Amino acid sequence: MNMSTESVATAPSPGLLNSTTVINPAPGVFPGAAPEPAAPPVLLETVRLNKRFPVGKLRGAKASLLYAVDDVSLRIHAGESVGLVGESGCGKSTLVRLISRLIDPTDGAIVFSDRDIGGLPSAGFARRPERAKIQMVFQDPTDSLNPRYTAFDTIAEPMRLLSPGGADDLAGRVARIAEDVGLPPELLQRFPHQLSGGQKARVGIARALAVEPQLLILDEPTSALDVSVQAIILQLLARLRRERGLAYLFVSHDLNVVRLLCDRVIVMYLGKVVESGPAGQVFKHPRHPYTRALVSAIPKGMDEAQGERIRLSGEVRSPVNPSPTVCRFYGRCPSGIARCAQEMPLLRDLGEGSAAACHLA
Amino acid sequence: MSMTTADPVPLLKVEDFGLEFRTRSGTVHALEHINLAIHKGETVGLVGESGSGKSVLSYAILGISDRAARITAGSALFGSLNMIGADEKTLADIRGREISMIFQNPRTALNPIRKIGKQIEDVLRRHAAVRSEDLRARAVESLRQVNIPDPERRYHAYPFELSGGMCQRVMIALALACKPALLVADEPTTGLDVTTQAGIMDLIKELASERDMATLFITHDLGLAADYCDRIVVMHAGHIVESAPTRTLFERPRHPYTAQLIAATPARDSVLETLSSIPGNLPDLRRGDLPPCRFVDRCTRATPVCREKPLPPIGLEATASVACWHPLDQAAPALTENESAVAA
Amino acid sequence: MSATPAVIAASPASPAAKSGGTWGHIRYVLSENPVTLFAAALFAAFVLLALFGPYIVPYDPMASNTPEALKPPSWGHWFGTDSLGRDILSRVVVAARLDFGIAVSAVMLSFIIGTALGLAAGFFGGWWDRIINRLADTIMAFPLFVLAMGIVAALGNTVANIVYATAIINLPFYIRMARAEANVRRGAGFVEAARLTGNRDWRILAMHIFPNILPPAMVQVSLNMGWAILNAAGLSFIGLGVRPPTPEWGIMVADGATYIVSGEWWVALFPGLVLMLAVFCFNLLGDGLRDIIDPRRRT
Repeated sequence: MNMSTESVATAPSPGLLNSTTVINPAPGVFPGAAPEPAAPPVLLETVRLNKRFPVGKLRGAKASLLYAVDDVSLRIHAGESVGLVGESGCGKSTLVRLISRLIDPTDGAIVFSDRDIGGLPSAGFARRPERAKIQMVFQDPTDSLNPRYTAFDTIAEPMRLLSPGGADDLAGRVARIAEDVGLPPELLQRFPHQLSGGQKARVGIARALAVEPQLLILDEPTSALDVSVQAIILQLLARLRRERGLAYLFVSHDLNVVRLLCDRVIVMYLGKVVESGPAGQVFKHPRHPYTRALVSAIPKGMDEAQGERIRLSGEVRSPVNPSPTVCRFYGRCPSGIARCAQEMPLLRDLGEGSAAACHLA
Repeated sequence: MSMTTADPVPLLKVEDFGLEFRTRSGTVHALEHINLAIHKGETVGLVGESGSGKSVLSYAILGISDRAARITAGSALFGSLNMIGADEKTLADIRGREISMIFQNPRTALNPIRKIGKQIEDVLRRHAAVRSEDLRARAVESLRQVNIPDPERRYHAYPFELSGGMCQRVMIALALACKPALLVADEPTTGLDVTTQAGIMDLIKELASERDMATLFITHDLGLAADYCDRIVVMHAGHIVESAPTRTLFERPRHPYTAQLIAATPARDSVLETLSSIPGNLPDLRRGDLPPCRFVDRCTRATPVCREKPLPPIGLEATASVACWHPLDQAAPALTENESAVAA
Repeated sequence: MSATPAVIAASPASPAAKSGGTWGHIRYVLSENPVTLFAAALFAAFVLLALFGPYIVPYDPMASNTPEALKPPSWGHWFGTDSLGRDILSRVVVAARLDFGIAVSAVMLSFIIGTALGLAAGFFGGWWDRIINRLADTIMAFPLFVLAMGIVAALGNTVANIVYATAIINLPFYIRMARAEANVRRGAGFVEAARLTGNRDWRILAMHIFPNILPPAMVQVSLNMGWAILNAAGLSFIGLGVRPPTPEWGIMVADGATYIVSGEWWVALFPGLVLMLAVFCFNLLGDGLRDIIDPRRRT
């Protein structure tokens, strides 16, 4: 059940948005931009977003619910690059699918450019004007391209369906965007199985950019690519963002890559946001115990300066019918205290744009 | 990560090994002139990108290559037995008992319709002389050794009930049940998240040092290999291009490909603008006219000699060696042919 | 700074066989697999017979010539004559058109409707899936040939009804296949991507999923054709469907069956042989098609 949309879109009540106001980035966080007193406008906002899936057999009226996304409130500003990290099962894929409106939220609001889009059913969203504004680049370039469409067809389709120009000068527009992403024009007539991994990734990026979105969601865009190609694609993404003023929501499990590309980072665990803040800060001085363990688990390579690895032992808590009073990380957390099992920690502002959901932060 | 004094006789000695695949579109020269030696207790990292042949090599050593594979040259001596050409019965005896392997996708490597406890018992029954009444206790003990909590209960679990990390631990338990001398780990943590990955790698490292077991760790992640391996062997397009102790490899890479691989791997202090990529593509391994150095089309230091003169392959006994006519610890060649084509 | 050409050199990945495109691949498969070549040639021969047969036969297939009845194969009548003196060769050739026509129409009808239903069931799930599954189950609850007999008997003895009956009993086959393929593909990345690029559900089914299930579907279609011919012949054999004097392989075998005992073996043999050859040809062709389209599945 979605909340009433009018109140959120026009005058959000202070109580509801308390937990979101902490996620304002500090001024001057955008690299290269002159420090401004006012942050750029909020492009996308989620307010207490929830997604629960029924699991198991329904006995009577009470079904077990899996809390995939639990009370998530975040903001993405125009032109900002936000990283979303967390282990598998943390809810980042579900969150991303909610934001891109592939699935419907159970409750909570999704607001895009001050218009509520969470209330619109996902089935009909395909033809709304907002569809073109939020696009996604997928993880596996092989899986996300129709094997029977040429690269040209793949890139042209969103233009045909969503752009105001429709099918005018399709060839020209496709050629321009292909050039922009570094795809040679002779490859446009090829099928996915005739393209290399890096080339397929570029087709995916071109398709997403074809309708000039404002928010681009990148779901592990380089994890299926060799490291020799990765840098080129990441640099391409950085350049496109600068040139087009796009906002990115960059989902990745490779923290080193997130560090390269993102201004801000949001860390999720079992459906909840546990920490957020400027990228450099979160990695250098993580405030939440889970983030600390995550950062310490990154392979050091030859970097001796990285601290000791924090080992996590204990079972992961179940996301099905979780207790509302026990911290989700309790049991695995190296620093748990009694209060952690009695009161769910809320996301608190810790200053300088950082926030963490921990009693001990 | 300190290296134990190497036993003079290697546990596994692969010498001048070559392999090709017969396919409909031609013969793929997958591996050539492979020399590799693994000593007791050593952890060797086999690092390469997709298409480098690292998995193909490990499958070939164990005798589980694809049917289209043909071994063109060389031997793989495990102790005194040549694994190449040995009959299936001998190989089947060795696999699981002396040499074990763990694979990339743990969930698919386990039998989905059998309880994991029973799968461990299968291995024990096949290779170890354990009485039937002791089998169950041994299986539970194996699960405990890989840090699976509540092993008596988990004994009855099916693979789909376990997370990816747990399945990987079960696979390790299966592999180590009979205390093999060599463990081959083929990308065991790809697809697992960073915290789980660290746990699994720590476990393998611990068990290996407890049992003085050698490990061949195959991965595309250079950073991960650096964390866990004593020695690293770098592969490119079916050749071994460099082999060195880990520290030496990172501080003084000698092969241009190794250096570029290091430069392309994001690290803690990397900056996006200076992160490099490696230009060009892998050569088509079906060509009949492959140059002696397969990196030549992508190399900034290539000269005409690189296309003509066969390289002396990496030696077996040398601790650090490189297969290159113009390694990085020598002066750059005056005349390179590719420099203009391969812009930075 | 845009990437240099060296970085994105055109991939050498295209295998040599595909350099000639689809035709090159087909030629390659045919050359490697003589059996498929043979089947393709036979298929071509049958199609030609079906198209041009009636114009090239030596005798009028319907013309009776009682003095010549039940003559064994000779230079004048290669396949001999039947009980009414009609030339069996001519009748066999002309029957090709009818049998092929029935088989093709029935299979096409079955394919189109069955695939549409199966796609809906597999893609949407829920009530679509339940109802369509029950439909398929109901059809499959009957022994299929008996069901066909029942349908033709109830609706009347015409060629059209044979086509409908054959189409109906083949529906579950296509429903199941399309449903399974749609189910597998509906979670695929490109389907999600299609939603993001503005496709509504029906468009995703038509433009994205359907073209991708065509390759395995085509294989099934060709295998199914053999079965459809056999089915039509079988119905005619027991007297349902095609009525004499229309030449049709099933009827001719039925006619000839009574004469085998008395030693006139050719009346039943030749139509039966040709029928067998047609079915055989379709089956081989199906295997060959599978090789062309999806080499990984070859047996």
